[in-house]
Amino acid sequence: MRNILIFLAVLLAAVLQASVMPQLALANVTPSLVLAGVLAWAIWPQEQKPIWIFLVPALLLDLVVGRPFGLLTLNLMLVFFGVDWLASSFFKQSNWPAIFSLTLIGVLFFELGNWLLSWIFAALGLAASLKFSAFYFYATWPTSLILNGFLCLVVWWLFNQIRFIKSNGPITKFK
Amino acid sequence: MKSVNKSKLIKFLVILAAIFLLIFFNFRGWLSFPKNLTYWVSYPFLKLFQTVDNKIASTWHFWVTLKDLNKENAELKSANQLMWQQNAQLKEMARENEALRQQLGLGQLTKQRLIMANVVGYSPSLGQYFLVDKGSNEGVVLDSAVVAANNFLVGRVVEVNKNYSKVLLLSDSNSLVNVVAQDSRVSGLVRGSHGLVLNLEMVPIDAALKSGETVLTSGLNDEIPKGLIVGQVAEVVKKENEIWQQVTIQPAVDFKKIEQVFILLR
Repeated sequence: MRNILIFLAVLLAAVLQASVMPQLALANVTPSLVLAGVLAWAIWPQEQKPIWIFLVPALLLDLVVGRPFGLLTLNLMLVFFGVDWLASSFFKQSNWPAIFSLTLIGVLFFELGNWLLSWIFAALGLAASLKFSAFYFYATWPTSLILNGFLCLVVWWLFNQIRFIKSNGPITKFK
Repeated sequence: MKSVNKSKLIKFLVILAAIFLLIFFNFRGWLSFPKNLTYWVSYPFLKLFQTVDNKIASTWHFWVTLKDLNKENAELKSANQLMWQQNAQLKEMARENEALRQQLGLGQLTKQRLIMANVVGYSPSLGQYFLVDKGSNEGVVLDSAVVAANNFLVGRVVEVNKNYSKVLLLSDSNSLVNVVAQDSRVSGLVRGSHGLVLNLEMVPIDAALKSGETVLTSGLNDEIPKGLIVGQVAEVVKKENEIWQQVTIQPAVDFKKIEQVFILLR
């Protein structure tokens, strides 16, 4: 039941992402609810995390509005596994500096992935090659860091609140 | 540093393989059924959120612009008077043109067939795309031009499915459209710049382009007919030792506020 509810919430996030979120774009950067969810889930201090909760909505989002198909899902999964590995290997996920650092790394990783994967997709003939100007790096990336980083922290805080309500106390103690 | 968890590594590789397989399936065109099914399931929700979003945005816009309504009203009245006069002149010219065409035996101009489509979604990743609720079932084909009301060019269709299509907006960096300035007849290529502005490229440094001039499609792109309005010249920058001018175009439409579009059928 709990997993179904989480799945439905994430599905709702995917639909919101395709309909409402682009209206909140700043400097043409759309805050990504799905990225925020995936990142917060990757940072979340838990050994075994079911990834299908985010994989399926990302895939559905990709099926309907993604172009080229697969780029978003592939990038999100790389971000998830990359940040999850970093989080469990190098960081203590229960303090704010670690969470901030992992969030920033995750968003940067996502933007870098977007850029690299679009080149690879174009080279393989799966998409038209994109023209990236300097603006993409000096304006888009910092804006994305702020918007998506903030959104990820909000989602992480929500996860923590849910855990707090369920267990009568936060799992993490901030230092 | 912990060693890489074996089960996590296996999970990662399996998911990666599954995604690559799906990308391959999509490349071969085998995903049209799941695509249409997903769209069919998500359409009511997309439509609902889009409607709610539009209602909120229009109400918000109304309250924000309330204080300027008097000024805007006066400006619109004056613009209306001017357009009334221009409209009368153009009607006379159209009648004259029709008579001349008959005399010269050129035949009547063909009327463009078009269908109306609702914008139901936006691309979540790179690029400026949106989703419209008309597809191959309604006669939409690849590369069809998409316009807003008043023949303002919005973009072109880049993917067609049974019940829906994806439209590449003019503001996308991948969108290239051949255009001509209405008064000076200077031609060039309009390209989007990360969804923010439109740039007019390939305009020689000595071309006399004026600010405020209307830019129209030239018809050199096979798929986009001649005479659709792209926007107005906003800024012209000429630099020494450069062979091209830097021209910025103000798009005729606000791409974020589009709710309905028309797809030109061929």
